Amino acid sequence: MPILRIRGVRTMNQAHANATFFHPFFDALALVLDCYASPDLLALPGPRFHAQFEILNPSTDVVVVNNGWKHALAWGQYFWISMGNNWGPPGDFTTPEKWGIHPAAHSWNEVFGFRGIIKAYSWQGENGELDVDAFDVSEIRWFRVGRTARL
Amino acid sequence: MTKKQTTRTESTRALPPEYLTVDYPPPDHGSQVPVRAGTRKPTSSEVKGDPQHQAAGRKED
Repeated sequence: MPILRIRGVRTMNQAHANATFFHPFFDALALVLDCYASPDLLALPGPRFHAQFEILNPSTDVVVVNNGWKHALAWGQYFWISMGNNWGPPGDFTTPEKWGIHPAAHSWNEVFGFRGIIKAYSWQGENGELDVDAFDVSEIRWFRVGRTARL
Repeated sequence: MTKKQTTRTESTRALPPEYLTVDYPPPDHGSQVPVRAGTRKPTSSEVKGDPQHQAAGRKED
């Protein structure tokens, strides 16, 4: 049976550390999912995934960021996918502010959660895209954003 | 030791939030956030375990 799993969730900063605290304007925040795809999934025609990178506000239980990415399963069984620039240059970092999660925009809630959802598909050519019963929802990776304001 | 950037307003953390004036643009979910991907080395638990027998959609502890 085809399997697609999220084996880990990470919130990586520009020092390539799995951090839990981020400066809203200076720190990069890359959302990373460590995944596994079984050999029989990869053997299907045109195997591909759709991943959702969600950021939740635990004070309200609302998903405040929900970005999707669809791509071929192109990296073998054990792979990682990430969203957000943490490699630079510094002006290009995807900071918490750029994600839209500065606490000031969320009634001063400072703690957020990152959750990933991944689903598998098979491109069948003229028969279109087939939904594959292989998916996963990650645990929530909690992190905190500083309240520093740009005055 | 690296000197902290003076532009970091560390002192503002002492102020109650209502004293800070902040102007934010709305999150632009339509913009393209950079993405990356690559292969990774399986963890020792992954090598020892058999993912084939794990229930679909089960969350890791």
